[in-house]
Amino acid sequence: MLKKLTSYFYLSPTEDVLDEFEQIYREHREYVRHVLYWLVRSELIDELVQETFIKAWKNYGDFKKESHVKTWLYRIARNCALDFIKKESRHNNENREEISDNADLEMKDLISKALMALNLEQREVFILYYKFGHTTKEISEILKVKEGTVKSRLSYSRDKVKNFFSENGVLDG
Amino acid sequence: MDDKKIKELIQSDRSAPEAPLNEWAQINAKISVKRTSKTSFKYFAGAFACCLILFALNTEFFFSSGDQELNEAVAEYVLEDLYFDNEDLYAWVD
Repeated sequence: MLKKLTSYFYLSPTEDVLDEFEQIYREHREYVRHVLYWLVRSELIDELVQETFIKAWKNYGDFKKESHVKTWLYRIARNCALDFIKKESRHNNENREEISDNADLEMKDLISKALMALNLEQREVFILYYKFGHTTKEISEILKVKEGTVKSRLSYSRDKVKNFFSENGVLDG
Repeated sequence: MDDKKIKELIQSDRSAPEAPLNEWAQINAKISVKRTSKTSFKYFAGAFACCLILFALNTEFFFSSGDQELNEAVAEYVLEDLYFDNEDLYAWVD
């Protein structure tokens, strides 16, 4: 409440609020960077990381300490990633072409390609489950959707990725 | 390919671009710009609100004092002798 009041009436924010936010940045920057990278699979994520933390700062006054910082940051990062993907699909990014044209795909590129074959909803469930090790229940809380929805998205994305890997001769059996 | 295999495969990919060394400095700079513009806006909004209040008070004072002067002038006119001097003009009244 006090923070909200100060954020509304203050003419310059107290330095300790900024220090507190910097601490959050230092603790979660790697997580945010990885989430963004895995969602967009692009090397150009520096801007997105900055955008995420700037948006987080803007909403820091409204952030309720009861919800987990990681979950809160994930949601902001996800929205930034979504905007990026929309823009990128409009401009038809050249990097994507580069990956698809390369016959000798490395594992990293194969994973990128498999992930890009999923839509964002399926991709994020897949990543949260397989990369970041969340349970379906946790994912449903993070994404604010029913656990059944998470399971169905996960099942669909799993099948799609499996098929992709099988077609490309990766780890059959 | 089972779940465990997929997990291993995905976990094995540790690629992610390195963070620039001055990342926080860049974020902090952008935050500061926003803070400054927010602060400027608050100053401007505050000053504007004060002007509006002063204007409203002034206007009210102006109009109310104008009304008072007019009322006083009318009262003075009605009570002064000149009014009674013109009484014959209204002789048809009685």
